[in-house]
Amino acid sequence: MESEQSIAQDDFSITLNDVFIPERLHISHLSFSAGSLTHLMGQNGAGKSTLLHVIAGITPLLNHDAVSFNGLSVNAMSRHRCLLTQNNHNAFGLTVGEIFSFYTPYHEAPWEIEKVLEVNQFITRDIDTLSGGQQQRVQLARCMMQVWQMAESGQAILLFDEPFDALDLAYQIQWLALLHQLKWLGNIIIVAHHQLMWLNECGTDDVLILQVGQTQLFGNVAEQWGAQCLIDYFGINAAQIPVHLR
Amino acid sequence: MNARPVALLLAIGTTMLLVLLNLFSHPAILSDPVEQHIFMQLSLPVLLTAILVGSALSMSSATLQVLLNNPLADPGIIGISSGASLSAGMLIVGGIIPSSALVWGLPVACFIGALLSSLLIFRLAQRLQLTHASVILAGIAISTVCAAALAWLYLFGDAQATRNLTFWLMGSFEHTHYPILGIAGSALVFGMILLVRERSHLNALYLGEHNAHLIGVEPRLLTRKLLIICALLVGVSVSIAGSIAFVGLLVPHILRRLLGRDNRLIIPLSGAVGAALMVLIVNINTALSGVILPVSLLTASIGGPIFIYVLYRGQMFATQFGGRHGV
Repeated sequence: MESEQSIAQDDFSITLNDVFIPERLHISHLSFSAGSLTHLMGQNGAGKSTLLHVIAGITPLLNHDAVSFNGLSVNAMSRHRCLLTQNNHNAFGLTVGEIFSFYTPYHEAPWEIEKVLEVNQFITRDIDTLSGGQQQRVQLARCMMQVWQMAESGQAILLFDEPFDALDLAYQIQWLALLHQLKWLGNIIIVAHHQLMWLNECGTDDVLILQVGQTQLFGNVAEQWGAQCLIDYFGINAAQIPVHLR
Repeated sequence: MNARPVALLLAIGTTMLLVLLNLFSHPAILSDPVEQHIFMQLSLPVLLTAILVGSALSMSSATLQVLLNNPLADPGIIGISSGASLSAGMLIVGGIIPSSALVWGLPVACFIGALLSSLLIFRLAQRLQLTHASVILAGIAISTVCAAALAWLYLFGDAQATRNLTFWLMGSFEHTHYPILGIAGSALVFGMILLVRERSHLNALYLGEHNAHLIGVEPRLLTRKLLIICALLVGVSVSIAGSIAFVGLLVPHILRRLLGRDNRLIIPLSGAVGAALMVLIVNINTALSGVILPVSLLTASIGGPIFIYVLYRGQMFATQFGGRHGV
């Protein structure tokens, strides 16, 4: 079903040119290189989800060569690229094990993912009977398992839309640590979220701020991110900034 | 342990057993040429129709349920069968084609009718973002309108035209003959083979279009293809056996409950179990010798109470209402 196409390590990157979706997204140029972790930030409706869907290749664009992945076909991409979307409901009461086997090459989470997210205990459970946070752990694991073989060799693109939702702090910390390991392996990781506090902990990562569908800021967190960004891009008064974010 | 081949063989074995059981109702079949003739001309077409229609309806239902993301979908309940019945009625009562051409005209007309009503219900479900319950309600509305239109048609048309109203609304295996069975049977077998070939892709649709796309399955293309195949199976089934309700709801639902949601197993097994169930109904009719009951009378008698029981337990709507699923 899938070709054996794979990405050559040295020119592994994602490039966007002239991506335009009326009233949702307008990006003239954007490039993500191998071994990067980007925090995609912005207010509600800024276009974060849309951008992730565009990069994942599931939003059709008028300009077909607007997003390039070293010439991979859609089928081959499914082995390299995953995206955690915000809505993953089903009406059939699927078990966690079924979700894993239908959407990934595994029947249970590999050890590295299991160690962080602890999901294999739920294998026989109907996912709807799990709590919100437990479901989120399952979906995170499912998403990473789809591309795990490639991720281990640093050839994956991992995209996450609001992964921290409902996740306990302990899991947020462990999972972020796993992401950094994957980053050092050479994978491209983009995480859209609202947890501003993590930016202070992730100085070596990149930050991309969107506002009304346009790039406002893109660069190294330590160099670019500061309390001023909250005032400039998040509509917060200087006096309102919480102490831990100053 | 792999339960797949075991379950499939078990279901096919049951069908064969039931067919043999039917043979025994002709005690002298091996020696008496008259009995043999009766079996070949009367019983065999009925059995073949039952097997074909039972498996086609169950398989297409199992597929439609995943496409509509709704475990309650059944072509009889959501109006696909009645769409087919209505277009058959229009063809017959309208006298558009000579009755000699009905052999192929009926399957084609029923296919078109089924296709139109399935597109309608699918668009409604997709565009209006309807909840599970309202998709079913919309389907019941379509079904009711088609049935009413069909009844009016018969009121104004020749009531004895080829097949009666009960046939189109309640179903029967007793109206087939070899010529139409040849055409309809090939179409059904063709459709079922296509469905079995696509069964593993169907698993990708459980978590919605985006997630299917992400693992390399083109959801719109797949959905379109599968909808057309389902309409073919339901429409052609209606053309030889009328509207049969509840089989499609019953069979996949019970199988999923017992064996899980993997369509690689559920789709072919639904076909085998659906066939067995329909042959069982033929046998019940044979045993009642003299009275031929409409098929839907029997399927609804078994399926209706189970439908209510499932609704009562709240299992099918558990996701929507955030309740708890049964195991």
